[in-house]
Amino acid sequence: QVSAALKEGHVSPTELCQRCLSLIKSTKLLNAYITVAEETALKQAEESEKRYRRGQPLGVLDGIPIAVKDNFNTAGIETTCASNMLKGYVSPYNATVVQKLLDQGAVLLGKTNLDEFAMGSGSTDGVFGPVRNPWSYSRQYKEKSASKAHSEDKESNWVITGGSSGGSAAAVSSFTCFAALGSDTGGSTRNPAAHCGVVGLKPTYGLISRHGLIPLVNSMDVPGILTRCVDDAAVVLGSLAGHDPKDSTTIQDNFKPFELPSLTDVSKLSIGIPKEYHAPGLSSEILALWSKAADLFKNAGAKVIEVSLPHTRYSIVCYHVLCTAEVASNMARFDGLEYGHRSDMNKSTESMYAATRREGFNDVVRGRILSGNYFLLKQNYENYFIKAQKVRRLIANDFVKVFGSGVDVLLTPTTLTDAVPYMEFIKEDNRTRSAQDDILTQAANMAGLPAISVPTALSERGLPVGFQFIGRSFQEKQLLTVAKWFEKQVKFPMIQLEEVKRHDHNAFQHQKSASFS
Amino acid sequence: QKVTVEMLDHLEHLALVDFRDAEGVERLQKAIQFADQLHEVNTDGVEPMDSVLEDRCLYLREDDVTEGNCTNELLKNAREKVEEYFVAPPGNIPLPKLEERETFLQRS
Repeated sequence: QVSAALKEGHVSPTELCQRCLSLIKSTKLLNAYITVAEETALKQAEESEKRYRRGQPLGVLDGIPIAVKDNFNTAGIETTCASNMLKGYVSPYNATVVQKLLDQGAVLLGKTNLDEFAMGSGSTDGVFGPVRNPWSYSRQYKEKSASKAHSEDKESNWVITGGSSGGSAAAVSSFTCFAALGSDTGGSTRNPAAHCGVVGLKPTYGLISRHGLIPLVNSMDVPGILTRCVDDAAVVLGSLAGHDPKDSTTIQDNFKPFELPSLTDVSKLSIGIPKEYHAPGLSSEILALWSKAADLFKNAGAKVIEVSLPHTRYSIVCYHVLCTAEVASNMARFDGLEYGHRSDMNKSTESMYAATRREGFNDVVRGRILSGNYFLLKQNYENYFIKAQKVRRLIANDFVKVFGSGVDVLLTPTTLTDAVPYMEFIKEDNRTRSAQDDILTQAANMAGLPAISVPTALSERGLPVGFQFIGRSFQEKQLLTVAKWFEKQVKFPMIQLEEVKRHDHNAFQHQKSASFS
Repeated sequence: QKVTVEMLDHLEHLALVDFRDAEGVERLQKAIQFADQLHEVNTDGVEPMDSVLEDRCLYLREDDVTEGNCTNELLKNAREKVEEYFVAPPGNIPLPKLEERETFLQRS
């Protein structure tokens, strides 16, 4: 919608950019952004305006304000990964996905907050502080907590965004941008998408280039897309997907961007409900919603069957081993010599490396590096690392079997509960939380499959609940078509932001009408 | 089984990060315990999986230089440099042994 508005001149790119920038300022409390690139954004908006005046916009994304998670390299803009290790690091290049968006004329507003090095499921463990879920300040949430909250409690009642792409999710959810990039290794795009009431797409591994995305787990990382509706996600996907010679893990098949059809007949669809996803800790509320979601498909004539992915419960353990092992390797590049933080210690190379790393990394990162090194020791390699790789194959095969039996798409909850208050979340440590929260999203990364979280309904506490669709490898079109149909059926309510955004309700009506396509 | 101090020291050497405190050590203990659940799974005859794209051929570029000459750009982010060199402190000096290092592990 906003793209059409830009084309017809109802609003100009610079106006749009300025509104977003001022909205970012007034929603500072959310702490969604680490860096706001005001000057460059305005310049980009001006360039876009010139193109629109000539009647030559680059495409649907021309002039659209976007945000990028701070673990993507952005030329000339600080890239920190929310860590002391990279504070002050100004990227000398653009990640391929960033470059592609800029080439389409998108306006890069800034870098969003995350858990340090994308390790975590709450966006609470970065050095710039936690991200606050915009829904904490919504009328819907406040109405439900009115009975319990006193005015002193209100401040500390805010809920987390989920993670680790929490900043990106919060940015899209609070209307400060129209789309954002996240990353997804264990659910890091889908988890915050569900908690913030936005669409979170994890593409098939190998579809979108990881060049420039600071790596966590090379065999599972993918860039993630966060938008306010499924159609928008398809548009962004269209501009990002495809082979990149700079990332040899991208497949060479030709990718054709697609527009999503509006499905009217779902009778030929087969929806699978994996019973193991009824995991311990799943709230009764979400269980009930799951049933309702399945009924939506049933009543429309689709085939809905229960399926089994027997190794689901080992997915998180497997992830734990493979992730820490790859992290131990990937984090070895941070030694202070070429970029990033460097300690003053200079007695020897090794002691400088050690001091730099103890100063630069937080507990979570150091913990994972040490665990990873343990699992990679010669005496443990076979029993832990290789073992985990074998279990990985079993998990991937589970999906192959299910999809091979005629199921088109799987339907599962994205999270176990709605967003918890920050004060409660921090009572457990990062690893425990990640292990709990990633349970429903992790397996898709193990198997490299595409998955999308679609905002479905509000919980009893007035917070968003999202449901996840998992599709076949490289069948994003089918996956998104089903997701779009579902989105239409559930009619998820728009967030009614209050306190955080004190200005000008009316002026933002344009942006509030959600989508840009 | 608890992890020995020698093992912890060995890991600190390999990783070049520190455990910092009892919590850090406890974290490793719990991580190992958690990972031990893997042994419940029967993986007889199963091949390890390195990548989900294992059935495809990796793309290799032609061995031609197409970009580069960005020395200045890259040196910008280094703290210590001389002309076109990154400067490192003297190498080949091993990390001090446990008794001589300032590390939490000394006290255990």
